[in-house]
Amino acid sequence: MRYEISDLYVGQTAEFTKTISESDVYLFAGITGAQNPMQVNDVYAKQTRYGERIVHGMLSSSLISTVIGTQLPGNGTIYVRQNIQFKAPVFFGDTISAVVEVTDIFLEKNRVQLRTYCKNQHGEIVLDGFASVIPPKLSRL
Amino acid sequence: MRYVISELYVGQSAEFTKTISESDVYLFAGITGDHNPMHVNDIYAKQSRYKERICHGMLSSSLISTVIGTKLPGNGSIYVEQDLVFKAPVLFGDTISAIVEITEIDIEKNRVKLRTYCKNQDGTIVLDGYAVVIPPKYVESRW
Repeated sequence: MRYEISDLYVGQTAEFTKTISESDVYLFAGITGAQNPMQVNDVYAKQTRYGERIVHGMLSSSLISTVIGTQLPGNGTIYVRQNIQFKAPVFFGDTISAVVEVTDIFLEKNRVQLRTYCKNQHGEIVLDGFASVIPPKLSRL
Repeated sequence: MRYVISELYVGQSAEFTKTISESDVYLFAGITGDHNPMHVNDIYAKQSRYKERICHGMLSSSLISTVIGTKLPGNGSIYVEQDLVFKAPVLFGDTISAIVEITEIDIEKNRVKLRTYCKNQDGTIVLDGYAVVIPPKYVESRW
């Protein structure tokens, strides 16, 4: 799926939802090297404020990039900026919806600003922020 | 490694370097569901402006979180905000250094601001931005 700038409108949204598994977190730790005990040491995590292991904030954040790159605006989009404010922890087994909503369209600059946030299965916003992207041009891949 | 706020100083920095492999990108695509053809379709990518598959921007960005969570300020840090500006593509096989440098310390609020950026093996900055974090407190756990 892909939209060029003239196909986009303010208020347009798309989302991607995934239940985050232990294997997701452990693979993410392996890929990034972020073997933080908060994510991969259950004995440590039990003694912390959260009482259990939590998901890397950047893993939940990456689901936003999934929506931008595959749905809205979709394939061929160029990522210019991503701002993320972390609001609440994500636990193993949480079902996270990454939601992207078009908030501003700058036709002359061919840029779009999006509100980007993730919520859990209780509707609680776990991270919030914005992205700036260049939508694809249909004349090229 | 971990530092409480009183041990931090402006200009302090830490980094983590990794050569990003094809398997990193493919696993990342599987975890996140981001099977954008720019990352996983070589035929498509060859016809694009970059002429080859590129890494997910959020994969390189995640190396910053690695430095913050494991080195500076380290274990027990709470991530408040991360801002990222993407500057240049990262290609498979590029060696990326994620660098974190303290720019502001607010002792009253127990918060620090860091410049966070990644550069490739040629010294090109591929992404730049800042993070706000709450450094760990020793009383929180014995680790």
